Amino acid sequence: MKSQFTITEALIERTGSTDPRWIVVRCDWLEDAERQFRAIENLPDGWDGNGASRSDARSLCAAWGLLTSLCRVEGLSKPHVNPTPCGGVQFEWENGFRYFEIEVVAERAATYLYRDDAMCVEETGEIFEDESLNGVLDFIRRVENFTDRTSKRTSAFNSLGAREAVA
Amino acid sequence: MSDEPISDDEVLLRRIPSGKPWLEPPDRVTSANFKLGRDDKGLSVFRERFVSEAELLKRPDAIEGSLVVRATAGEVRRAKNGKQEPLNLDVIPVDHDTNPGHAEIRGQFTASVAGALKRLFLHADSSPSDGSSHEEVPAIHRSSGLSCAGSLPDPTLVVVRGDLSTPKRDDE
Repeated sequence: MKSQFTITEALIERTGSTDPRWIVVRCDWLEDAERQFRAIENLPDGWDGNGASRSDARSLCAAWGLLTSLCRVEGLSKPHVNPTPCGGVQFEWENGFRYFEIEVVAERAATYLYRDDAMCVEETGEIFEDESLNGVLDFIRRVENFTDRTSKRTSAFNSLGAREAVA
Repeated sequence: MSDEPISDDEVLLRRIPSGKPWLEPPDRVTSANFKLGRDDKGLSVFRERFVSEAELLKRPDAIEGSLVVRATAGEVRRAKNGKQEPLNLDVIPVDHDTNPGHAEIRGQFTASVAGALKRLFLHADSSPSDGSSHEEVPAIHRSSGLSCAGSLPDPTLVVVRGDLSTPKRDDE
């Protein structure tokens, strides 16, 4: 599997160099993800029983590049890795009421979805070659940092999530 | 023939492949299961009136280890995104001889729609006709406390009053 994704290699370097929050290191789950990518690469047409296309080599390569770039951010948790019916790949982080996914839809473009079901927040968008990954990393951190405050009802609405919703 | 209009109380079945081949938990349902393929006009579902869950899993095109999730047509038509905005989905029969009971969810398919359908089909109240239990409840629903009205099909879970950014539990 090639680890080339021209966009994100450049992006993550830029991210790491401009924002001290993202310390660039190597993660410990990349080998597991690579096994998943190899399996996805070998899926045939119709792999889902609903007429899905086999993975598109360029999208897969781009997704791998994105993942290896994200993997270099310290402490980032491993996402779920799933093929999409149109031949793409998506990554999902889920924790409590918060969820973030990013789907590589083309060689140089991806879409994302962030939801916080406790706060009725949803954000969607696209990222392209010339954009920083800081926004993506912020969403992932929001999911990772979620703690269930619902047992403290009186303070739930003053939580970070509530402030995010208002903002 | 099953090309008659689909009423709101009809149960729709969606077959979900196991994630085992690519080393994900075999019973984890993902929003990718509710996204369209390249040439799809809508998301394929089956009407339980015409095809049972067991029959759907026995069909030749079924992938081993697949599971079936369900929701009613009305729930799909009332589906909302994470901000409680209507998604304006519809369900129409797309039937032909080799695919009895086939229907499609039509609409403007986005990541938002796929995410909403995932939650809807996982949490729908429509119980299996064979009486078997469904335990496809993800961690996000096991958590107690706040939920957004509309994002889950059971309206008794939550009442949202006024500003949607401050949901309140109905037992407060």
